[in-house]
Amino acid sequence: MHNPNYQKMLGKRETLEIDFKSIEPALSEIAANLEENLLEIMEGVTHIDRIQTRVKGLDSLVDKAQSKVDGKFKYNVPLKEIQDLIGARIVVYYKGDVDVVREMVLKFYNTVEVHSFIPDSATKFGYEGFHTICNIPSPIYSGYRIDPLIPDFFELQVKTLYQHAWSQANHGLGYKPQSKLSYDEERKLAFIAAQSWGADSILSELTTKTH
Amino acid sequence: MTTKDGFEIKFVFLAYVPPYDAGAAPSVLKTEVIKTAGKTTDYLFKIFDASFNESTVEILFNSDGKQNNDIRSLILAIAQKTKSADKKKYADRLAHALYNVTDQRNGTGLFAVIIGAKDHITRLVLARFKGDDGLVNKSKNLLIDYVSEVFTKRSNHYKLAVFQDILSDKSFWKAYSIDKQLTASNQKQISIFWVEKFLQAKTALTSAQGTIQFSKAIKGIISTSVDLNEQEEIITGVINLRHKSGAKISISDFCDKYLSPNTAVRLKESIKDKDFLNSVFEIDREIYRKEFGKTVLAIQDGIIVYVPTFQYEKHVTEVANNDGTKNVIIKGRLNSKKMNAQSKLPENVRQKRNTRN
Repeated sequence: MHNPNYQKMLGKRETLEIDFKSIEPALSEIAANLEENLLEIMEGVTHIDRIQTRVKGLDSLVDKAQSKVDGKFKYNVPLKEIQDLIGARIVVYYKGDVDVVREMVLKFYNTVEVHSFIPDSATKFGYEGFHTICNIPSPIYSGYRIDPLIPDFFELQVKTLYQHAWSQANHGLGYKPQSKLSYDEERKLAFIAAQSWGADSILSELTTKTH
Repeated sequence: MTTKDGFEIKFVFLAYVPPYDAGAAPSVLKTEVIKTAGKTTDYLFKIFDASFNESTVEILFNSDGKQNNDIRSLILAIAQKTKSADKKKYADRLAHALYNVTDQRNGTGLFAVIIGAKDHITRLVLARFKGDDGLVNKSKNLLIDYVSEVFTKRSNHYKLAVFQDILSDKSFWKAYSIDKQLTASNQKQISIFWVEKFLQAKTALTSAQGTIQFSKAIKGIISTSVDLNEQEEIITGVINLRHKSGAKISISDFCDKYLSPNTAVRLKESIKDKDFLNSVFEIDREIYRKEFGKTVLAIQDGIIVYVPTFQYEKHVTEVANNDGTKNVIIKGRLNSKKMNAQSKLPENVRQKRNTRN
């Protein structure tokens, strides 16, 4: 029978936990297949530092599922609406390499969302990177069509080494997007981002000259 | 109303959709919500129940890069609205979108939207049945009984897309489609009118991804084959497919058109994922040339020869022996000779060494 409460139940931690654990092995298999596929299609592309995929951790999923907008839960069906349950990241050496890899990604995957993160003001420094929500190709999806909990998409990020270093270090500090930082803390984070941006820019200039 | 497979039917909508006429009044579309069971629903529910297994071509809505697509928004709204009147409002808009892309060649059609739910899953089926002159004549009164007659006459002629998911704001980006009007001899496996023009969608595999996966499947089956005839048959198929410029194909289609029944069965069985077997993609010529560029001949006494696949006949002559085996004669200007030329060093290390030298 149709259970109209199922969608609400999916939002609760225990249901979310049970459902997530039921699909975790499948997610891991898809993530591993995606990594293999990415390595295959990026073969011959130079200046790639690493290609990684991961399955979102349960705690991170629960945290995200609880996020609110204007006092209301952002996700009604978190397991279906959170599109980075499977994530992939390609880290490249130089800024110019991001465009090369981005073109390859768009050639091999159909996407529904494409976003280049750059600070909204010339005087601001912060998170930078290319993000896209890609369809999981059918050879990789491999027989999970009948399980509605298996996501159709994965998130792929392309970053330079410095962008990656900044975002990882920033993430490691444990600040949540909704946490309020002091003026001084925000300035320090912006300073580190500016240093990373500077290093990236100078390296790009040098590599353009030497190549 | 409940289907035989146990789906509780939430909404059944029918619309008479003639070819687009710029001068016609908007009321040219006749629509109706069916609320009672009968011959028509029996027929529709049979299609509804079979739709998910029957539809094999995976399609994905086009996106503006911010997860927006007008047709998907209408479909999602029909599924998400709880009141029948609201569902009908969006279904009417969807029928109009179909009307706007229907030309004389497509002809008059009967458009159906069926929504059902089972456990926590929502299934939405869109179908377009080919109409006939009778339908045009009687279009002023879209009678359910008459509609069932149309179904009986044209029972195997329809285009369909099925969406199935746990309903959320992110649902229904992906669907599975089937076009029962297309014959097996037709090169196109999907209806451009239905998938690209009406649904504003595309096949879910990109040309590049499809071609590289196709290459993997072909190389996989050749590497495990011990039968020279089978190997040659597959390679001939690959060479012949190359000449079909811009061809949209699936592995299943390749098997049926280019391979013998036995080899086709072997290749199909080697594909674990049956969705991939039917995934349609356009051949990416550059990747195709790169992936299939070399044919490797293993000759007696451990001789290995790499021959450009697409210039095979120019350089290689095959001579049949009395015992059923073959000899090969390779023709071409000799440019150089090397010893132990096949290095096991990684490509990047070899490149660096070559640069130094």
